Amino acid sequence: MIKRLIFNDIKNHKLLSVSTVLFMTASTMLFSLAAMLFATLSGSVDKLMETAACPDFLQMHSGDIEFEKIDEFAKNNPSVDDYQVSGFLNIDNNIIYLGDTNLSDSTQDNGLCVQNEQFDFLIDMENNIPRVSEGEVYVPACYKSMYDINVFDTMKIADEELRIAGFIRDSQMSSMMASSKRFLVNKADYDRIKKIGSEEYLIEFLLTENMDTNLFSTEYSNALPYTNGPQITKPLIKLMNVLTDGIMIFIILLTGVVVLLISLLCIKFITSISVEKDKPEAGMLKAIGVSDRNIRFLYFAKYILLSVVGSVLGIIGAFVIRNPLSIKLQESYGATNNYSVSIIIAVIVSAVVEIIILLFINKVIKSIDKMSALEALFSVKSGKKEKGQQVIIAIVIAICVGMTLLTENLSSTLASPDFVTYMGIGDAKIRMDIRGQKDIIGVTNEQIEKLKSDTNVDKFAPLKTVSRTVTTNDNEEVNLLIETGEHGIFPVKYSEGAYPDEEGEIALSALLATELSLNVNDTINIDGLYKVCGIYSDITNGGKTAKVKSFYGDKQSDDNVIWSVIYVSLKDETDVNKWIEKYNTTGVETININDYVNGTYGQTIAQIEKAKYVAFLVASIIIAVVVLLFIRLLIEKRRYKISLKKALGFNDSSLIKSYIANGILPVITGVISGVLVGTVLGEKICAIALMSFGATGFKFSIQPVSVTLISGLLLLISISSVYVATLEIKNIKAYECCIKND
Amino acid sequence: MKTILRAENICKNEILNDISFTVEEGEMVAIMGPSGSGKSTLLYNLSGMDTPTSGKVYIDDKEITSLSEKEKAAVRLNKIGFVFQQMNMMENLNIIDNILLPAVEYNRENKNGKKDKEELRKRALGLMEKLSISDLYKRKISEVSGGQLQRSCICRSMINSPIIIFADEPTGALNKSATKEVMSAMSALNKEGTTILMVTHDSKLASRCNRVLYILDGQIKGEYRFEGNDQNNDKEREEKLACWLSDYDW
Repeated sequence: MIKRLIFNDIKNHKLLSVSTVLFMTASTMLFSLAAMLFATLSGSVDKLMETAACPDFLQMHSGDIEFEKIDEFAKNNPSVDDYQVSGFLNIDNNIIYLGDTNLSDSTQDNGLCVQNEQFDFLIDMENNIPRVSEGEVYVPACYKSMYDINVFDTMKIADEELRIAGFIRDSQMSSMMASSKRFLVNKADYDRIKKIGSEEYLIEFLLTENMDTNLFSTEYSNALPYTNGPQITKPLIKLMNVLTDGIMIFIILLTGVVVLLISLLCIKFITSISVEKDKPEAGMLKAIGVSDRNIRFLYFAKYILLSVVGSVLGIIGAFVIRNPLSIKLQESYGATNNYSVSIIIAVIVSAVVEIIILLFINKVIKSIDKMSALEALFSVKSGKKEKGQQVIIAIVIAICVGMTLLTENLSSTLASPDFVTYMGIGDAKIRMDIRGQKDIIGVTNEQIEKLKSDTNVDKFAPLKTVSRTVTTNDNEEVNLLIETGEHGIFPVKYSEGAYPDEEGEIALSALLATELSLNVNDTINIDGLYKVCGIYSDITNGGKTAKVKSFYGDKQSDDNVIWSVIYVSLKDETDVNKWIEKYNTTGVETININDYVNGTYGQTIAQIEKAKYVAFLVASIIIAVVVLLFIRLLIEKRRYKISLKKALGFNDSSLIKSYIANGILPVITGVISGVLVGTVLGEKICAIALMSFGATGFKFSIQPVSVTLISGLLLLISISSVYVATLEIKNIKAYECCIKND
Repeated sequence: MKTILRAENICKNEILNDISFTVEEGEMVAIMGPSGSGKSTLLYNLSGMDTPTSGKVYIDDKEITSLSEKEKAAVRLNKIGFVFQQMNMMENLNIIDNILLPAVEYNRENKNGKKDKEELRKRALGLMEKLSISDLYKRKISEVSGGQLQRSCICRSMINSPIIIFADEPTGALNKSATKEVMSAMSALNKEGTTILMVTHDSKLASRCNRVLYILDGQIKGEYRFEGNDQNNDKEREEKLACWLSDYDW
């Protein structure tokens, strides 16, 4: 009988049942998808780092090194478990060809290496440690789809030809956020090609358990002079790996939370309408002696069935969507689509989501318990629910419009030229990187001379980065990357104070200022006291950097230069690409800032761009479904009244007009609130999120045309949905009021 | 004869004022009175759907006024049948499932004394047969007439073999022919020994009862008992009752 009761109830209230299942499916699907992808990503990153025996600390260095010194440091340092020095043969991108594609546009430092013997192995697609034969090369897996290459294709380095034997996963450099990519070759090939490239060293350490890598970094820098390249720690590697693909999962999860909240709102409303309608029936059941528990079960059982259907559909949907989304994870980290584990995760997550929804429903249905049989039998219908209905329409539209505008504004901000100023980069057009060379100062000065005599150059600013030890207020020694030069030419965004314009002034990145508990006008000791003159946004190099004009005594500024960067802007009439091409042949990596941003954060920007379209699509569907459903329900509730009005002579169009007018008020309120959520509130949310990465004073760079277009389209969808829903009025007959009372 | 229902000094706010009476086994008693006199309130208090502010109600010698809501629900399920004016039935169940609903609940609540499903179905069909609606058992509730629906409600009230049926204006929402059908059904059940206490405005239906209580301003103002030849002559019974009611300006 329960079965028949449930099925008849579903059959008789198709709209309510289908809507409930739809909301349940959407919530379950998004949460299951996010959980499955996260489990896949997190598990495979961990597995890759474990299989590859990823080092705990890594120092890149170019120039001569004395192996004995490193050996001595490692032996005398109890924190070192093992160490190795491996070569990385940096090759000019202009002479590398993958298939027919030249890598000159690549913003990555591409280079060759041989398989390590102790740790930091490069892993093939079958999760084995490949041994490369002479004449063969293993290419980073992330290049497979990027350059559309396959096994047996050819890689050319100048005149050297290597056959692609497979693809490798690199626990350190898989992420596009890592600036280098390693190609695996045979030792003989490596030695032969050595003359074409410039060799750098990766000085790698495996540390004892619980060793603080920051502390070890300071110990290393104090003991050894081989520090002219970036230092990378294992947690940073993991963060880079997870962050690149994690943003997509985070957005799915965020959408899931929004959809769940909307679903709970709508399901609560749908359930309370059903309860209101079923009250006399429930009263009758109470009167004939059916217990409260069993009455609740009679009404609740339907939702259990709907939730099972919802979660099954949600899990199927999550599996269907997961496959295309996890292809990249498979490529980069060897993520395996372990169906049994995925099913378990999906079932657990969907069960949790459905339980949350069911508990919510149960709370609504429980209101029947509180009523006596008589109250339920003779319950009076209130108009309160109709107001609640309008509020829900407005809230749902506000959330949807807000969510879409938030992603649109975030996307337009990331793509805007101003955004680089949050990355610790001045507002210049071109960036010249002088890294990994033996005489960085010499090359830099050479470039400066060239730029001075170049009539196309509008202005330029050479900035040298040096490593300095700073004593903190707690008397701890910390290694800092300090950029020296004229910071006023291409200033970054300063949330407080201004750039260092005089000797003895220092500007700190927001994260560093927080970590060192320093504010503007405080002082810091770097072989002398420097006054903090400004705090700026920087999300590069872990977000912890500093800027000075020069150190006390000019010579000191050129000591320990790790790399230098020259920012350039050209006169308007100059062909930027040709200019870049010309300077690229000088051996200094010269790139358009936009390409640099794309190379470093391109994937993230592309994902947010994709999220923008998905958010618009999801928002449109939710708005259409919710508005259609709720206006239809409103009409259903007022069926008697509408029928009576028709009997009294009202025509369809006047009734439809009055219901459209009724429905438009919450729609307009929702869209206006949504615009505020997506711009004002959204900016604050993003500012808080970006602050943790080191960007302060974040402001949206809003495209008024896009915002107006999106809000306008969503408003149009809302109003169209109101109109379509009100057409039901045409199906209500004038005689209905005579045969059925409200 | 066994006393099925005993009301002792029932008061409910300003509506009922010190009402006492009994209903014996096999009796069919009607409560009459003008609108607002407290008839329905009395019925709800006697059946345990509402609780009097003072006084006691005994059903089958068990005092029910002091019971918890859950215990009262059990009494309603096991000992009482209820027929409503509005013929409330579950719209998602067909006629026979609606009739069987209290039996299903009985089985759920009495796990040790479960009744056989097939037996229950036979009993439901038997009751429907008795009230001449057996061919409607598969119909939806929207597919039967008012009279047929109320007779189905009477079958539902009988399914757990209650010791008494309470009926609240059972013909109040019906037309003339449907009223006749329901009247006949209730008389037939009473003749077979079912005890019935009903609230009605309909003097024709009341004239089929053994006894009529007249209630006004929350108090029983009079009682009429049919005796002797009255048992067999409907017309005569109606006239006598009308004559008695005229004393109360009915």
